[in-house]
Order: sequence, then structure tokens, then C-alpha cells
Amino acid sequence: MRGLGVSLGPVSDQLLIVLRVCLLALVYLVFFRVLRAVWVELRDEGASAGAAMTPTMAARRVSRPAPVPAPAAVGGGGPAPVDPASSSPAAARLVVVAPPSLAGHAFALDGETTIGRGAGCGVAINDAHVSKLHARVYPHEGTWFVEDLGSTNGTSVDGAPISAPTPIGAGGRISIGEIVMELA
Amino acid sequence: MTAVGARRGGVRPEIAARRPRRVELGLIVLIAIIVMAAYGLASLGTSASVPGNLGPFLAWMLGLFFFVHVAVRRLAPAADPVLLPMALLLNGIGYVMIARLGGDVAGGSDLAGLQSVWTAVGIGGFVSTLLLVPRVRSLAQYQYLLGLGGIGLLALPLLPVGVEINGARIWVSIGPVNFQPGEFAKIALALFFAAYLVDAGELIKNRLELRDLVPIAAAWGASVGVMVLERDLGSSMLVFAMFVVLMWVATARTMFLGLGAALFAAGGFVAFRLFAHVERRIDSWLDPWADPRDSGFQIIQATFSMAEGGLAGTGLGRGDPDRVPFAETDFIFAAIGEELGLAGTTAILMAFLILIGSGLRIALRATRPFEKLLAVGLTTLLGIQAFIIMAGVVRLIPLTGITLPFVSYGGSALVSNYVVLALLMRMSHEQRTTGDAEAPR
Repeated sequence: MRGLGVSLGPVSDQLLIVLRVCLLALVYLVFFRVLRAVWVELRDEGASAGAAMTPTMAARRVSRPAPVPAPAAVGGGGPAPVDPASSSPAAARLVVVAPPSLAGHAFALDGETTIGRGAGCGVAINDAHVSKLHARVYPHEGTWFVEDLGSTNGTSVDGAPISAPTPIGAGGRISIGEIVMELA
Repeated sequence: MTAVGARRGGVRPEIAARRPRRVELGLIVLIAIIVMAAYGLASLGTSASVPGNLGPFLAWMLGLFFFVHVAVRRLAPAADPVLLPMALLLNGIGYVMIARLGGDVAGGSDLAGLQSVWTAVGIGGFVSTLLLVPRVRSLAQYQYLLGLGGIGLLALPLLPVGVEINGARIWVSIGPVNFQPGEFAKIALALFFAAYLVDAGELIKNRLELRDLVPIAAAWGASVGVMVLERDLGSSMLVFAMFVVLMWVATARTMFLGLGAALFAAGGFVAFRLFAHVERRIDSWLDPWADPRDSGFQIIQATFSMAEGGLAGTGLGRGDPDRVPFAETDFIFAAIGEELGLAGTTAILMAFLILIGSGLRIALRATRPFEKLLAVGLTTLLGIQAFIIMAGVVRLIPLTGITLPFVSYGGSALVSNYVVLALLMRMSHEQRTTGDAEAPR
């Protein structure tokens, strides 16, 4: 653009039309680049999310047909942090049975697992009646035990409130707040 | 760590953090070219001359763009790369329209001059928000202060300092400064609602009791109060809609959307019966031709204006959008429709959709409930405000006079929208630096 402030005389309509179309094309070029940037970012995120999955996150992951990452507890071989392989009990999943909206979700038990509202818990439950660190489930000499970790509203095993580490067998039910989970 | 390692690992080192800013810079450069070209074209269209102040205009704009980009590089380097460019694009196109509506583009109408100052103030507000709020979640501790402050700001125009302009008592005039406190009240209320619903939402989700409905009733009462006492339909709808959406998001109960709609319908019906100004709005929405010279005039002019624009518009500076009353503020969408046509208005719509999409993506990625709710609230504010006024201009819903975010003329609105943008950018930066993705649930 030369001659700032100088009148160019009558500008032809055709020229203005061409310039206007160019302007609109530029605007849409911006949108194209925005969408491409978002797309590239999403693609990279998807790629890194798969690679960055840690064992703890795998244990925390909830899905309808439970993933059961490596049968950690069957007989031996699982990387159970508390007790080495031989004493791990056979059951390895907590399945939510109530409330109905969550029923069917399953959490794989991989050694000691914490339950609570905090994001760092192995079984993270987003519920106001659940304490940040509510309870833990751990294997001991071939049996799973449930222990309340000083929660506000308490923990029940098979309907009875517990005050000390309590053994739980297959099919046993843990109630925390509104949530009931069954050991399977 | 190498670049490959960076992409794989959960932690994002600096190499990855720089990329958003490179994308942003590319977009900002393109947008600077667009705004400059639009400015030149508008001047060619109105007076067949290249504006004499193109140089100073360019320097001013490039200076602002460069300043805000460098500030983001310093203060929030990992933040989302598309939020700021979209706001600048909307702001730039809006500025050109305002300058063009003032008549001679180069002559520098009063409104355009003021708007350029307000843009600078808005960008200053954006940068200072980034500077003063290192962690958005630390704002949650002031929730009651913010709630009271928000209500106070909403009610401020009712005090003697308030002035009534164009039938709505939403302005406050202190000395030489005029502003709309309601624009800032929105942000304070969004922060308050988000902080309040983090705890309350959980309780309501589990056991719904009658007393849990008190807050929604109070919000409804407040927005009705604003509507009745200040005759500000737009803000009233906006705050209520934001609250209903947050209730819904916090409790995951669709019921609240229905309840909100029912309460809104009830309030709207009563207002329609009791208040002449509401009735006028609805009548001129249903049939503007009943009174084409008075109450229907604005909307009819806007319809003709957009019809004249057609697909690609008459060209900047080549139409007559100033025939629509309030073309710089409420009806700027019609002015864009006339001079840039369907292609231009679609571009505005796309820019808003991208802003909203990015805002909701921040909400999805947020790990803390407060940030999730806040991101939803702020995005809802932007989105619903844009929807209310664009839909009002195209006669999809009754017209309520509020500004089109970032585009319309208006100092308070521009500054407050830049503050909203800064809060979103800050949350986005925090998410991407701590690398905490959404915990699976």
C-alpha cells in the first residue's frame, strides 16, 4: 500500500471485490490453522496417554468389562508390593454393586489398594460421604483384609461396621458411603 | 531429555511447553495482517483512500499484539494456543467495524478512539490477571467475599451513583469514569458459584432435599431482582443460565436443566404480563411489522441490513449498516452481516465456537472440581452471552440488549471478557505444566 493518506481516485469495484474475497479467505485460513493445531495436539496427547500409563493408573482405571491387567493375584507372579507372590489370595477384583448408576464398574486389586475420595487412591470414589483416604484393602497370608483408615463415616463389611482389620472372602461386600462393592 | 522422550513421558519439559506459543505467534501474525487489511479495505470502501493514519494504527495494533504475546510467553507459556488469537481476531474485526461505523475510518471517530484505548486497557487487564493470579484455585478461598462482591456490584447501579441509559439502569458514574459493574459481577459470581458448588453439588447429588433448592431459588430471585429493578434482561438471563448450567454440571442431574427452564419460563411469563418493556420486546420479536417505525424499527433495519449483505457482503465500507440503531454495540453482528455477508458472520460464529470448545476442553482436562466448574462457568458466560445477542439480532429469540463479547463497542465488557480469557489461560497453563490429566473414574 503506497501513498499513505493519498486518495487513489475511484477504486474499481472489481478490485474491492477481489480484496474482500481475499480477506475472507485469510480469515478462514486462520480457522484452518487453528483446527489443525488442535488436531495435532489431540493426536500427540492420544499417543502419549497410551505410553504414559503406569501400573497404578491401570489399577485405578474403571471399565465395564474389567480390564484385569495381568492376573496378578492368581497363585503367583504378580508384583504385589505388600507380600510376595505366594501369599496373594485368589480374588483380584472389586465390583461395584450399588448404587445402580455405578454398578458393574470393576477395580482390579493389585496388592494393597487404598479407597477414598482423594485422586491418589487406588479406588477413587467421588462421593461426599467418602473420606479423602477412607480405607484400604490388602492381602495377608492368602486372605484379603479391609481396614478403615479413620474415615468420618466408617466402613462396613457384609453390613457390619468394622473397627479393626477384617478379613473378607470372595463375594464379601464392602460398604462405603452409598457405595457397595463386592469382592469377586 | 530428548524431544522424543518428552512426547512419551508424563512430564512435559520445556520443549513441549514452547510449542503452543509458536502456534499462537503464527496465528497472531495472520490476524494482524487480517485486521490491517480490513482496516485498509474499510477506508477504501468509504472514502476511496488509504487511511492516513494506517501507520500509527498499525504500530498501535502490532505493539499491543506483540506485548500480549510476550507476556503470555513469560507468564503462561504452556497455555492453550488458540484462546488468545480468537479473542484478538474478534476484537480486531469489531474495532474495524466500529471505526467504519463512525463514518470516515481515518478520521478516527470518537468511539473508535475510545475502543482502541479500551482494547489496551483490556489487554492490560488480561496481563495483570495472569500476573496476579498464579493459581486459580487459590481464588476459591475468597468465595463468600466474591459472592457478596458480585451481588454488590450487580446492585451498585441502584445506588445514587447509578445512571439510567437507554432505559436500563446498569451504569455507574463516578467522577469522569462510567462503567458497567455488572460486567465484573459476572466473573465474581462465576467464581463464587464454582467454589460453592464444589461442596454443595456433591451433597445435592446424593440426597436431594428441599433445602438444597434454596440456592437455585436465591439465584433466580436475584436475577429477577436485577431484571425488575435495573431492567437489564440480558445480564439477568446470563447469570441465571450460568447458575443452572453449573448446578447441572456439579450434580450430574439433568433435572436442574428442566427446573431452570421452568423457572425461567415462569419468570419470563410474569415479567411479560407485568412490565411494559418486556412485553414490547416480545411483541417486536413475534411481529416487528406491527410497529415498524418504533419498537420494530431496529430489528427490521437489522434484517434488511443482513439481507443486503447476502453471501459475501457488500464489502467493508460499502454498505449502510449505520441505519441500524446501536450498530456499534448490540447490533454489530448485523453490521458485519451487511458488509461481510454470511461468510463474515459465519467466521464470527466459528471464532466463538473455537473459544467455547477450548474453554470446555480446559474443563474436561481439569482435575480439581473447582477448576472444572469454573472453566465451565466462564465458558458458559462467553458462549451464552454471544448466543443471546446473535440470536436476538437474527430474531431467533426476543432481543435483549447485551454486547457481543470482544466485538461490540464497550469498555467494561471488553475488559471483563479479557479477564475471563486470562483465567481460562491460567488454568490451561497449570494443567499442561503439572501434567495432571483427568483421573479416570
